[in-house]
Amino acid sequence: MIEKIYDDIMRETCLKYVHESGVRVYMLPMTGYSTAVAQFTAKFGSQDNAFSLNGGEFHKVPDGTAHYLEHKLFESEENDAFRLFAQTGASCNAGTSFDYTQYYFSCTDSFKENLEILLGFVQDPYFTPENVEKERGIIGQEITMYRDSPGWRVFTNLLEGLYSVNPVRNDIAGTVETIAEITEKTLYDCYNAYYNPANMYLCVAGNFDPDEVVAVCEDKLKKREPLDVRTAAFNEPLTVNKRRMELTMPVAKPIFEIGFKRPALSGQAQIDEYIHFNILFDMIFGSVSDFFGRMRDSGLINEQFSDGVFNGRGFCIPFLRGESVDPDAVLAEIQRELRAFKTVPPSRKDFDRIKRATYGSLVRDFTSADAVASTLSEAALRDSSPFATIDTAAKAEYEKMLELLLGLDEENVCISIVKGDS
Amino acid sequence: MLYTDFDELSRSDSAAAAYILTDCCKKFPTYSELSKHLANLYSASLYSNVNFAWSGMRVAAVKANVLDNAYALNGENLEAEMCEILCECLLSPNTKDGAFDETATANMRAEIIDDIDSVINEKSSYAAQRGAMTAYKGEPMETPPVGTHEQAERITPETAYRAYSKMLETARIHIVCSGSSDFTDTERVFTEAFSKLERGKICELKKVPSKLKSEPAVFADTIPMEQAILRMYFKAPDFDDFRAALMLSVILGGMTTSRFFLNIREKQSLCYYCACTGNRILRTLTAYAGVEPQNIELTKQAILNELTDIRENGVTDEELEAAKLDLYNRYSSMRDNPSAMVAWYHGQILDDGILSPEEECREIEKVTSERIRAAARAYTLDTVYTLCSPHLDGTTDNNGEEAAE
Repeated sequence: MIEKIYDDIMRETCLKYVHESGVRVYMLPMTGYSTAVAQFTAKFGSQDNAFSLNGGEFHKVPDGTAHYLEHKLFESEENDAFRLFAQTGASCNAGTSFDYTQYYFSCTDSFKENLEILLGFVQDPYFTPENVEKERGIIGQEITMYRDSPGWRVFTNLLEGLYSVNPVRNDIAGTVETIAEITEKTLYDCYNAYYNPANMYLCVAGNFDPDEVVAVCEDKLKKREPLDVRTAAFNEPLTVNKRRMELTMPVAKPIFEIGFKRPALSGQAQIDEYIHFNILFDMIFGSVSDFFGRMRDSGLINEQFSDGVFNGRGFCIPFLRGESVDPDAVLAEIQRELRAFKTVPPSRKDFDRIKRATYGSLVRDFTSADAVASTLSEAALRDSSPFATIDTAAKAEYEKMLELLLGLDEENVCISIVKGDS
Repeated sequence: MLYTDFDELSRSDSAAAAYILTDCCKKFPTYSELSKHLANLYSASLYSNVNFAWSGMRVAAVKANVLDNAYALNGENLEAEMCEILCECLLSPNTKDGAFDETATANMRAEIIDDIDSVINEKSSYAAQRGAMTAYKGEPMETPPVGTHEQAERITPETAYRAYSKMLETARIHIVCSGSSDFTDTERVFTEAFSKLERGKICELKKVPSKLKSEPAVFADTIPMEQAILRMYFKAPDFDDFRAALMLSVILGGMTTSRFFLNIREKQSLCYYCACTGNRILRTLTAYAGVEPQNIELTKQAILNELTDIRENGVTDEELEAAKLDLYNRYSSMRDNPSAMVAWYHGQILDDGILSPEEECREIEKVTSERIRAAARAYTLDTVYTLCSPHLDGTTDNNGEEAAE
């Protein structure tokens, strides 16, 4: 049974179907496109560092396990997935985030064959002591590469500063020490728990035939006993762990990220907060704002200054980032500006302008098969409509934005700074 | 796209001019006012960048990106309005008495200096820039397209304006549009705006490959970092079979079944990434890898071994087919991406004829193992650059020192 989800703003129809195994499938065919993109995702990310099955005991897993598993899944007993995709010309890869792991390909030809490869290798783990050991050095190098990136370090330090116990504070790839604990058993245990079909979804966008997707799913998706897999809960305080994080690395000018700690939401409430905070911060701090012009003219910030909202399972962080000779002074100015806007709120005209710009950006994102597949995957992760974000932007309300502004505690904030040797 | 002859003296001024053009104009005299107007147009974007079109030529690209009229909530003609703003910015900048606006210039000077200095923030970009200093010594690409810190400090409203005036007078200007529109409005707006422009002697486009050194240069930098970066530059100034060179770079390090990926990363576990990229005009191939400092020599030798093997034995049928399929997939998907289509046609303006992505696929199909082998023989090691920590490899600081191999 295929459900049709039509959106009258985008004038697009998304098809949703739930396979017998429990895998949810979202499809959005795009007329006039050459490319097809498929993303097969397991709700298993770096945050999932302790789990129980069917109400049993919790098992702790080393940090970096989800990412390690992602690396190893491409390998099979006979042929690795990269070689198989090379025979069709598809471009393939995978990524691990805090709350999911995704495997994907993009192709202009042989779509059915590529989808079979994707579903095939993700459902066919092959971990041995030797191949797990071989990967340790490669992942160690990846970890080292990120440790040399000030942009990544300033971000991960911000998470560590904001959160006391939420595992989002730990690096996605783990550390050289934590990955040393990972064995083929760790990977199989996590695979069997989290790569259960009911915990997975497939999203396809672009140039493809939905009937072909259904046929491949019917043929290739394996049925397994449903499992009740639960990640260990944690009790994260509402206030920030640390207000200031600082690290010294080779950088020309200090770089910073400022994050406000917000209670985590889910479903439509999470989307509402995402859209309205984006509008609020763009209005107060974006390139159109008086704040931006004033601070840029004073030399305290430059064009790198930007804002956004980083949210996912268990976290919501409206943030600002940039470069400055004095990041602490930037934070003080930001807090002053927020207080000023609480007294004299932004105008409805400014709100309408940024609402329109936010809508425009999201519509523009909807014009590549990659971006549309990612939008479907995000919606599947949240269990919301694929068009919910765009619809929320198109219908954003001034009052909701105002409520967020007035409810924002500008003191519940952490600043992460990476500065050079002075 | 505004193509001009490269001129060392105006390197930073030309960059500042291009950036100021998309920061403000007479009609929207501040960045904030222009940004507000663009936000009203559903977050339309306007930006510029400068780069080397190829050795000896510079290109300033001024780009506008706007939502298709079909998605405007109130039936606005976004395309026409955006083209008018673009023409305003290009042809009616915020100037007074032969100089750009003081504040706009000061902001841009600061931004350019920050850009130049902050390259150290990303180690791979820093390695690429430092490697280029040796690989392209004596050529324009030796220093960044926006210039050096010292050059940028000398930008004034007058010097930037002079660079702008010269650019407008002598540049070969190409207007490339891509998207779902028929661009009738674009053509009308640009034809009208440019008909009033007075032009001088338009520069000639020319191809200049990068020069090959008589002996490979070896250069090392040390800064505090955990991983080391290796970059190896190969050149073939007299080899004009660019499709064979492209296939060579794909087979060496441009796909997930490349030799570097399979043999250097997967089999030898020497690094997380090891890849190869080429430049068809400069006729260069660059191999690069992030490695543990103690593995630099091993990785360098492994890269040379792969090239030597292709020189001696050519490539397998499987490699040839995989590289063709990989390129076919890249080219066939290009039509889904307007920016990629602009870059595609921009990349061919020096060619005798312009090919569509589909026509290029047919040319790639004709490349043989023998042609790739010939490319491997033609490309010679020119420069080896390494960036690593002074504390992990046991060496002392040798910043800025060249060593003989």
